[in-house]
Amino acid sequence: MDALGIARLTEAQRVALRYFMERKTAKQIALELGITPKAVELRLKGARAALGVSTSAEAARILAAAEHNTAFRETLGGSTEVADSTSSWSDPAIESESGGSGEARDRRVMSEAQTAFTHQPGRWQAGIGWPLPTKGEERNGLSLGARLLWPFLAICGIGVSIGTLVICGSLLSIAGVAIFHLFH
Amino acid sequence: MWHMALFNILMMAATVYALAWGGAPERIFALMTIVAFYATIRVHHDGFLKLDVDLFLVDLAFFCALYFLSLFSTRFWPIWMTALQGLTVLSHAVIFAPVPSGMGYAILEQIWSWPMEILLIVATFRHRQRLVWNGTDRPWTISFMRSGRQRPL
Repeated sequence: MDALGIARLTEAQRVALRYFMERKTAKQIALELGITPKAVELRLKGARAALGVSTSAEAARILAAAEHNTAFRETLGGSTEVADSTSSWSDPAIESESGGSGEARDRRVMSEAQTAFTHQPGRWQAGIGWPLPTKGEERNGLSLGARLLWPFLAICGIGVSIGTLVICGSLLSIAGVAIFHLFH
Repeated sequence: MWHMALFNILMMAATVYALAWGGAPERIFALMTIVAFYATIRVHHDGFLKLDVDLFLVDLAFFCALYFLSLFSTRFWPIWMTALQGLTVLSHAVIFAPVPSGMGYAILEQIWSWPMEILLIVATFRHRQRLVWNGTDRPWTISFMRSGRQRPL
């Protein structure tokens, strides 16, 4: 069911779910994507329908699991309470704030899980990161320091690589000529 | 000079593609390319037998503009463009080699422009893909530089 539902998700819905996992509200997601909050809500609603779940948290969890996000799965899977609570956690981007101690507890537990997920030492938190897009991160999320540094590191990398290629090519060429003269 | 003609065709195609279908960073880079190309034609007259200071300054200015662009863009390509342009700037140092070679200076000075134009085409193509997938493609990392909603044509 999940695999079928995941296949039904559009890229726009996936993007909205990924932002949702970063604890962003519909308004914040809308600002990031340059669309209206209503459009974000529609994407999340479509994603929930495609996956056959009632909350965006559940939909985001399924997507994260499908994308082999083991860190997230461990975060949720480490505790039955956390995993079970995701289905009842209400969607802050869609649903209005409502009382109820059980729901508030679920929200807190899910929030902790999300915090652990988003604050894991990933490629953006560990070191300066790589200046290359990945499947999950199309946009450049490098820090200012990394942006200042990377062009110079790339100059060194490209320069050294091409220099090495030229030197190796020259050496191979010389060796080839030497071998040719040796046998002829 | 067939390679010059080929490069001019590639540059024209990449620039027109970026100006017509690119996002803000791609268009700005395309405009910078046109300005740099025109400036290069204006300042470069003496071949590559000695250090061309004017050409060096044009390359340096292009590098600085690209470096600035790479700091605020949501794309990764400006970082690589900046690096390639940095190599173009460094190529001028070849003339100070113990055995300076005009041919080597000319090749190193021009060779980095090829991957830059190809990268611009790829960058514009990927921008179009993101527009189709996401409905939008935010160009800048800071809010005051953000442009409005962009839709695929």
